[in-house]
Amino acid sequence: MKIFKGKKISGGITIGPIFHLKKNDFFIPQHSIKEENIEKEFLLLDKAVEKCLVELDNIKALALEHLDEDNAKIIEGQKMVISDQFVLTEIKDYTKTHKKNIVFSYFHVLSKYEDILQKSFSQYHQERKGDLEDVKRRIIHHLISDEVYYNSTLTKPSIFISRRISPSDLLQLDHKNVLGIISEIGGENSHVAILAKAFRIPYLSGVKKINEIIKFEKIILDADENTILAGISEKNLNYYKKREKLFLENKRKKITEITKETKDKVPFNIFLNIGFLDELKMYNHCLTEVGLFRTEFLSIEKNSIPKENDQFNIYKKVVQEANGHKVIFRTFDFGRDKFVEMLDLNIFHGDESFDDWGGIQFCLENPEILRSQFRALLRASKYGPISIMIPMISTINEIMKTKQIFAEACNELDEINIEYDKHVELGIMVETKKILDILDEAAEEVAFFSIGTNDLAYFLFGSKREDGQIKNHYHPQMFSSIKKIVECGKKHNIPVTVCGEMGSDRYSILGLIAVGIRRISVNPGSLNTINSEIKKISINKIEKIQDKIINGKSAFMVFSFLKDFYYNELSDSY
Amino acid sequence: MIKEEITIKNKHGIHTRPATVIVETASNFESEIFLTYNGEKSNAKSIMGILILAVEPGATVELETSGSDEKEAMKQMLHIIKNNFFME
Repeated sequence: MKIFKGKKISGGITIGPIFHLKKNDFFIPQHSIKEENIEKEFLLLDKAVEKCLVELDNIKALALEHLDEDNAKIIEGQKMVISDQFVLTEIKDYTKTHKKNIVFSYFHVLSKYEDILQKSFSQYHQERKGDLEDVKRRIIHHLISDEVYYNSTLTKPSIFISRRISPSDLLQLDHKNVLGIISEIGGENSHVAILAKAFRIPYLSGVKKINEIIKFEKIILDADENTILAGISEKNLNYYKKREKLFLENKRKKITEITKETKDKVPFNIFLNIGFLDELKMYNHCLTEVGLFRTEFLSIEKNSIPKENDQFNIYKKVVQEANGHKVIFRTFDFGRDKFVEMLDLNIFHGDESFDDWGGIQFCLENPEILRSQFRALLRASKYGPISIMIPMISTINEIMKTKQIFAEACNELDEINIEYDKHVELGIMVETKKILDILDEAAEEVAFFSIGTNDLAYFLFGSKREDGQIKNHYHPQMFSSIKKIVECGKKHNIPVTVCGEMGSDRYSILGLIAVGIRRISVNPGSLNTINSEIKKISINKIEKIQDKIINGKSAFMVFSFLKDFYYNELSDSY
Repeated sequence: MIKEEITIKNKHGIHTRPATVIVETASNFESEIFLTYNGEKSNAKSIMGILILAVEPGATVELETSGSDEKEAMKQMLHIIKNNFFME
């Protein structure tokens, strides 16, 4: 038996065969074509090249604006590789001579070049090889999505394993056939992670010996124990089978009704965080408000910012699917990793300068993007109630600018007589350090606050955890900050909701309630747990622990206190 | 047709960035422009062609231009290489 270690991204346990996605394979369909269809194949290639060049031009403009000329030059190099007439001619010649489909021909020729580079280049060049890989992936992505070739690759339920998995890889798969995910690269807040959590797929990242794991036909992915087991005896397998069965039962267990009050009849609201239409469909039997709809996923799926009309069509479907329940849309939040992943370029990874360049700043610097998103959302408001939420706000000036752009969007629709709900409210995410100092002023200007606890913790404490493994969101300062936000909301009579990870955590939610939170928006994966927990909670008991939490000495102490409270008060005897 | 030999002096040889400068420059001319290294000959207007030469720092390459503007082409190509592709 062999044991491999990784880091849990999404919990659960699964047993099954492996599906190894080698990045270079990238699901390349290969088939023969008829003589008369050759020109059609050529046209596909020309179109894909054209699309990539437009994309890269956009990226280059962004790189010039926000990075530097060196990075822009690299993208210029990628453009050259894509439009290299000699290579394109070679690809077309290959198609002609071998009567192969254009995707395969492209892959074949590019791989040949890659191999040459691989053999001849020094370490420095090896790193630069990533550029060529990016280019190849980009073209093939366009060729394939245009041909709609995906879908048949993962035909039986398997554990998906790859060095690095991009959101588009996962989206192209039928998630019902993905038993689990294993990758070497990929963080807790990456989009693949959010997807895995959304669909409750066990996911381990940081796994080192992928090449050894793929030698086994069948493995146990025990994400709950940060472990992968291979070559286990039938006898010992039983224990894992039992656990897998339990996990699957829990996963399938549908929640019938979302509670609207605590055990002692205090009104309490649980909303859902949603990123995809498909995800919303999974919950249409027990719908509640959508407290956070993440719009940036639309861009990641498309690998570019979608046009107003495409956005409108999706928002409209979301609103219709919500069936009369309010949907709070968050405008594009291209912070840190999100933007980077969308561009799918190696060069941006780990670039510090992106840190203070997320959320609304991006949109305010590119007002047309925000204005067209507002227009698309307003047009969708005709089909059901919506609100709009602005991420990463840190100054009053940003709020005023955003409101100005919102008013412009409204005027533009008025001018062309397009109907929309005139009462769509604008709210903000409270998730930066700066906004905490101007809460009262901000509350005068907006209709609601929503607390993004992940980013707030990041802005208050950085990404490093002060107490080793204990999450920063248990830090007493988090709870005192949230208390301040709740009090400000009360004073100005605007609702305050928590939509970050803290609200989906069975221990930290107790602390949130203790400091006055009565509205949370949770990740779908946590809905069951949180829903049954709220039904067991008595507000009058919990209010008494507020001082203990706020005056806690460290994240570890607050964590231990909340955990004890949970087991003493909320386990079945409660 | 003109031929000239020149040594590549920039730190990492001809990788993507210098290759970009070569293609940009070569594409301005009507002449055919070739780069030869280690017995391999590539068209200077093809970035992939140049990249696969994998020219190491300190290597000597042969430049060849032929066409109506071959003199000016050679002059410009030598200029960018001598100036380390305006990078370092």
